[in-house]
Amino acid sequence: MTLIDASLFSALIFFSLYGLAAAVECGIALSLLIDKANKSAALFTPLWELTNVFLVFGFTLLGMLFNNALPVLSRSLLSTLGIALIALVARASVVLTLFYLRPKSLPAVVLWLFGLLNFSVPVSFMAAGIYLLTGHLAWQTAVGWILLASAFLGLAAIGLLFVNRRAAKLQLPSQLILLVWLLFIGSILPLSVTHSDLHLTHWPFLALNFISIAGLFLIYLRMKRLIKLELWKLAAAIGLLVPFLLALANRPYLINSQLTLARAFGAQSFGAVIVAGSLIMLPLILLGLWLFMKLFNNLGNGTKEG
Amino acid sequence: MDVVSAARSLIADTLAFHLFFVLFGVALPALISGLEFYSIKSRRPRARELAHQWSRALVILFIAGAVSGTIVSLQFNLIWPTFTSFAGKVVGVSFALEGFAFLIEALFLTIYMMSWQRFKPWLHWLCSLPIVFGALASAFFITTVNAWMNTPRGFRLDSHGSPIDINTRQAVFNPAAGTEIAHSILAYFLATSLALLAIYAWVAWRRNKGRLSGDFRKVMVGLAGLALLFGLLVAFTGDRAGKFDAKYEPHKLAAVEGLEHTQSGAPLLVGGIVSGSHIEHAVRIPKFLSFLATGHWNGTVTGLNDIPGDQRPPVIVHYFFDAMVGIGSLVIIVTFLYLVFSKWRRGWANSRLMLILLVVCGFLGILAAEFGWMVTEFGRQPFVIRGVMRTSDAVTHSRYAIEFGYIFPILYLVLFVLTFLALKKGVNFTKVLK
Repeated sequence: MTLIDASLFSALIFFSLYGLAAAVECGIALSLLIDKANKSAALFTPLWELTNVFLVFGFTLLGMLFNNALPVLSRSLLSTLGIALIALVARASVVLTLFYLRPKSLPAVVLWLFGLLNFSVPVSFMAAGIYLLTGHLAWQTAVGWILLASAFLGLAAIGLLFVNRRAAKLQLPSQLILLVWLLFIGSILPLSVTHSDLHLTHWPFLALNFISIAGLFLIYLRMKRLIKLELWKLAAAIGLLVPFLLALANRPYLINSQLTLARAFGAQSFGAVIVAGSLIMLPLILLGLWLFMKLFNNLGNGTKEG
Repeated sequence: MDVVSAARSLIADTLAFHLFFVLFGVALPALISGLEFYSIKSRRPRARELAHQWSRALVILFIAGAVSGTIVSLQFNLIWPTFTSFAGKVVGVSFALEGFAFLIEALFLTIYMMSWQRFKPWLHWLCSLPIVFGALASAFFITTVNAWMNTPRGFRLDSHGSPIDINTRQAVFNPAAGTEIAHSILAYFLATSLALLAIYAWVAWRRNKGRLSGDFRKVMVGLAGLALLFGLLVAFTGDRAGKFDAKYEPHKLAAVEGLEHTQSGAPLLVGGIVSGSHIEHAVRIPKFLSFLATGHWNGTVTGLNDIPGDQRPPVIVHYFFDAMVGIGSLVIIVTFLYLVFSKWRRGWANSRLMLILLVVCGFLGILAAEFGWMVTEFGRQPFVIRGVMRTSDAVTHSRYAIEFGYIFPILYLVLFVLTFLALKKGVNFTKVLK
């Protein structure tokens, strides 16, 4: 593995973690929309702002390590990521309203807005990722639209399955969304890529196909109660894997057909330090997340924030 | 509005908004950790509950701080791509380390907040240490970047204007780093102590016009003592920063003082009205600028005439500097008087006038930090990296920046108001004080 590959790998780790955390936020927002009395509201605290830290760190790593790409990315992605920036501030305002100010009567539109804003941030960033993968803005190509739909479905599937992992009410719709998501990334996406003129390596899509088939089979076994499997873990594992496979498909490009990773990389003097630092820090971050999960698991039944 | 003006306005709004939360984010964890340590060591559960309440405020402030921090990072990359691309090559490691530190802070803040009643007190206090470390380290590393923008080192330019022969250590530990880091972080501690003191002064004023419990008074005296200590330290580091500017950033000092000609025995101008590159109607203190800048009454201070016309910062920076120094002096006097009165004239200490002064100082402390940042930024203009890259060359060409220049101030205003309301509703600063 070269320093350039390792750099991309480091940034992707944080983007993947961000994706998972953002999915949980989306799941909470959807659950609140469907069922106002949902207990997941008790799970949510603004402490999830940690999510944004993963995002900012992933983006900082990408920007610092592949700094030669910034002028191109700025020109092409300011409008796409501008939506995310606006949604970030607006979402923080809604979070404060919902979870700290807690007005006695809350119009339904606030919950809808909360749901929309929760999806807007990660989907905007995924749209930026689609630009890297296709060299076109997400809404300009059929593959872009399919990727956008996959992103949306993935966020909803992982989020709903995690938030409702102990509640029966939303299990079925969550499982159905997971099924549709797996069909998208396992068949529709590889098919559309094969029929496009994109310079993408095809084997990662084949891998996605196999993973999806395996996932569908596991879901079937779980439904037949033949195995014990928490579906949210399956969905999260696939969600973590997808960005890496898509990045592999895009090699040697950072922006498909326009800018290679080698030309975009501009951190020859300190890249190794940052990559090594990221990997050394990772166990500490994972330890913290494990601790966080242990505490989080009790929150639904107990108090918030101690 | 053109793209450059819009981008400048946008980043100025974002940083001004972010700085408000940053100063609490940097200083409050240390104050909370200190208070919790004191409560465990001296077996005072009420002090621990007070630390808990402060930590609730920290979380609410963290929401807006984390969001605005995310936006700052993204705006640097998207609105100022030429700058970030250049700076990334030289001081990218500082940006990344700041990110690491922020990550640690956020992660442990989550654990810290969820474990108030789940961990044993000592273990819980230990969880505060990574937050303190993360907060201070992130402030340290991001300030090294700002210092590098003022005194860029650790690289050479090739024929295309790209940095080569990069020496990261020289770049990160550039000449301005020491004074700037010390001065700004201490200023954050000063502003935070003053803001907390102002809250208690406000409650004291509203509650019973002076009849305060022992605990209440103890908290106020403690905070005033901290504010005085940090005020004096900020004044000391400010003096060092002035001497540093005279040596390394003479253009900034010349603009701050509106010094038109290089001269020995230069006077200090206080107040006045800026008119072009002149300052009119100011109070002149003979030779004092020379003394402050060089340590000698007849020392030579560089004037604007020795700086090329297209490289001079705007003299308007004089207002920000005077405001910052004026506020700094005022808060030192007020906190000193409060401490003296608390010891020997308790009635005066709890008088309406003194309490109002303390409340006003709470606001002014935050404003002073903002003015200090403006002095740094305006004093570097027209460059974003002094002598290397002009601000107008660093900006994006995307015209979306113009729309964002209008949208974001409104969003920040809404978030600011909601944060204030959430603090008011969600935190009871005096819950455990009789």
